[in-house]
Amino acid sequence: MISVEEPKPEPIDAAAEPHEHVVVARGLTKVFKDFWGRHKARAVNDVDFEVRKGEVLGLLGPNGSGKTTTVKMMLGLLYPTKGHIEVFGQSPRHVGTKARIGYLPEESYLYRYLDSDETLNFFGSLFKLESKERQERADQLIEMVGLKNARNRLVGEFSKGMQRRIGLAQALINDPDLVILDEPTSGLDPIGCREIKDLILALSERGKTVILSSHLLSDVEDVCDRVVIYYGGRVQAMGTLKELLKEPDTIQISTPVLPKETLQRVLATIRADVDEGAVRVDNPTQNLESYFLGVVKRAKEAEAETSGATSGSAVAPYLRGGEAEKITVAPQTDKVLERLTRGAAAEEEPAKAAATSAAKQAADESVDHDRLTQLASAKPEPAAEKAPPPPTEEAQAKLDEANDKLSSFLNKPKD
Amino acid sequence: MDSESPSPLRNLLSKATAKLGVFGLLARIVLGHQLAAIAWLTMKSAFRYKLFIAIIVALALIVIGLPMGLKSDGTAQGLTRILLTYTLGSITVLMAVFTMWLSCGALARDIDECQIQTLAVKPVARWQIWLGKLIGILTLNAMLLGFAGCVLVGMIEHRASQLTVLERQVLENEVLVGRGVVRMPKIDYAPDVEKTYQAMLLENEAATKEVPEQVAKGSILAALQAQDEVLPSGHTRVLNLRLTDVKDNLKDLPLFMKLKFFATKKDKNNVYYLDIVVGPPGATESRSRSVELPANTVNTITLPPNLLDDEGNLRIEFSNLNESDLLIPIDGGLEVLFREHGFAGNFFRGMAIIFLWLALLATIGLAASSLLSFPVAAFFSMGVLIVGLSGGTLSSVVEKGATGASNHETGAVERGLLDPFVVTFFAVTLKIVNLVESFSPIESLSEGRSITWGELGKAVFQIGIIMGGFFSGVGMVALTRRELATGQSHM
Repeated sequence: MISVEEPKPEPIDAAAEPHEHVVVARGLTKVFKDFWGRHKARAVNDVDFEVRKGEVLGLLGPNGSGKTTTVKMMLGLLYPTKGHIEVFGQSPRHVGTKARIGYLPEESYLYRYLDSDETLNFFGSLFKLESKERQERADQLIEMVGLKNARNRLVGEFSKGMQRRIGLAQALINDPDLVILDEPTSGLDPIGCREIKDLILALSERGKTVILSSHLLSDVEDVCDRVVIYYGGRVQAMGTLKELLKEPDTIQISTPVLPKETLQRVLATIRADVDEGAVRVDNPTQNLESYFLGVVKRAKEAEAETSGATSGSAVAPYLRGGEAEKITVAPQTDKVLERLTRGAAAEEEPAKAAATSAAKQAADESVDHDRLTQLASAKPEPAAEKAPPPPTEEAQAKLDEANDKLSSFLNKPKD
Repeated sequence: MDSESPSPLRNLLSKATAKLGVFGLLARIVLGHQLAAIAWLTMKSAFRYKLFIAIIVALALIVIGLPMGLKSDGTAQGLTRILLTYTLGSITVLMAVFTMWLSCGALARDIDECQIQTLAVKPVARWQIWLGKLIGILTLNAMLLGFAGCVLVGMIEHRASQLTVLERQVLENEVLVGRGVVRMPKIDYAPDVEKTYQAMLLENEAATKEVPEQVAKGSILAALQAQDEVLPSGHTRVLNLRLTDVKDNLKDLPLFMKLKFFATKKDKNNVYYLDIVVGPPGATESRSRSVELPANTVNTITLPPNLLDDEGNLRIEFSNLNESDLLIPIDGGLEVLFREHGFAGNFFRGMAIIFLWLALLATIGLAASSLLSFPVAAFFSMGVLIVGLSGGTLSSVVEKGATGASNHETGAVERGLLDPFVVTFFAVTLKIVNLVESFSPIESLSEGRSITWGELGKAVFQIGIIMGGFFSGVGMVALTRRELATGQSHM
């Protein structure tokens, strides 16, 4: 991996388009008082934000910063001291609106004396789902969250991770338009974390709005379109990840291992324009999540048994929408990234289990982000096993442009 | 032979019944998905936490164990005392505690342990959550009370078979029956008391005013009552009781007279002699009987059938054959009971009133837990229950008009500064308590007294609608207005 300082920053795409807002908060303030009415804590202080339809919004902040209080006001579990908040244009206490919301609380607030099946059937009943449909959804969700082997165990006997999984399932029983997830990966193993992130991406692709409250930066970074950063009950920063995370004066290039001579040539070319100290060359490392997922995948292929939660299966069919969309979304997302990092004319080498985040990051810097977003949110591919379809002309042009850029750095003509 | 294919409706019904069970299907139809689901959840918690089983076992122990543990004297009264007074009373107390516990826990625990946060964000109104919980508790109560009632009836049948023929007959005629009651008509003495007091003032105002007005009026009332209640030595008194409305149903049926009197001179053996003539004067059906009866006790005398006159009046003539004067109180001194209903219906209505009491306790517990944490709600509910059982104290304070003791010499009551407020508060509380306490199904069942549909309807109105409705309203409003995430440590 080579890092160099890039002289000219890319312009930020800040085209302001009108958005349909799912949640609007204006001057939102929550003061907790003691028994005598004295102010105890100002948990949320004059907060303004809105959540756009179809986006994944991250509420980020340290413990006690006001994220959960905001979420609870959004759900009508707490009432604002000042200001107001609307969900789908209604008060959060409007009963009808709640049929469009799915909520995973930050802890397992489920009935310990019910088993998984009963839990989902109970919550399904509250949405007036007919028995047959309710059972179908429950079956699919239990399969999805990997609790098939534990469906008749009481929730009270579950590990924390398993409780998160059943909690997530109950949040999705109504196929909600707005999914609010409070610390969704808390207590989950890395596989569970990855699955939840994949699920969030899948929901997003179906046009669902997702609000993710977390203090884990990686959770938010991996899936969110926009983030609101809280500290001390106030919004400290808000915007898209691209806007907030961009380092406009640095680029990264990833290549296969180069012969020493070639590398020297590349470095010499770069050093002609950049100070030596500003250039860094090293081997990208796989992150721990990817490595762990690879190990588990191999173990799973060897059919190792477990009595706990298994790796969840594909996203529940009813959550994927139409029949034609029967494909897992995570591989698709990875494939898009893979295609873009390897170029359109990539060799037919089988895809690795998971692309490294370093490679993804490098690719992220070397391609057109708008195009990436566009492709990532494209209709799902017809089948997971099928080879990726040939890129469109526009995509091909963008990829060629990326290749040109890479070639020019390597001082080598493109293929 | 062609068999007729079942109709789609029948198919649907049989599938739904197979899936949900009869009760589940009925609940779904009557209550709708959401209420049925929450009621089911409440019941499930009682089942899964073994609370239901524990109560079933406790009830079985009471219904079967208590009668076996208590020695019966072999009489119908003894059996009644054990099986109806003690056992049914114990069942009621156990069920009351169970209901309090369950109703306080059903909601307060959900709030304390935050499960309500998952529930309240679903499209179900908070009043529905509250009502669903109540329905679940009431269903459990109905099941448990039904179980206890059935076992109790079985025990009565079993124990009755061990009685002598005579005692079994007494049991069937006087206990396992719903008997109507006629009493001496009540007299309103207030106008006469006032009239006499005014006359005394006119006659000698200064002397009259030396005694506090309340004390003077109390004395006048006692004197007036004595005129109607005292039966002097060697005198005869005739009382007429009206049974006009039921006379057609009483043909060939015996009547039961309950007589309680007091004596002014205490006899060594506490036995007094009375001549009692029942029936129209001079009629061949009239029955005369000399009896020896103890004072200060309810004496039951069986009257032969067909003693009413043509208008349905029962004439009873008492002659005091003692040296002592006798006093037969107008209130509760003389009652005549007659067969009105069978035991099954009477028992059902009695159990229904007990169920209404439990339902009221459930609404109190749920209302408290809508506002308070579980231990505080339980404490509050127990407090309400204790106030409910303190009707005697309340009524004594209200009657005296003060919380302090009365002066033994003058009879005057010393009033404190706060007494007007306390007495008013007690009077209101007493009125409320009386709405519930004016029913006594256990006593009625033990004495074979009729619990009419009218009485049950009154109980439904007073206990269920007025009192239950009040606490339900308070509970639903409190839960709807309450922030459900304030016990939350995370922010």
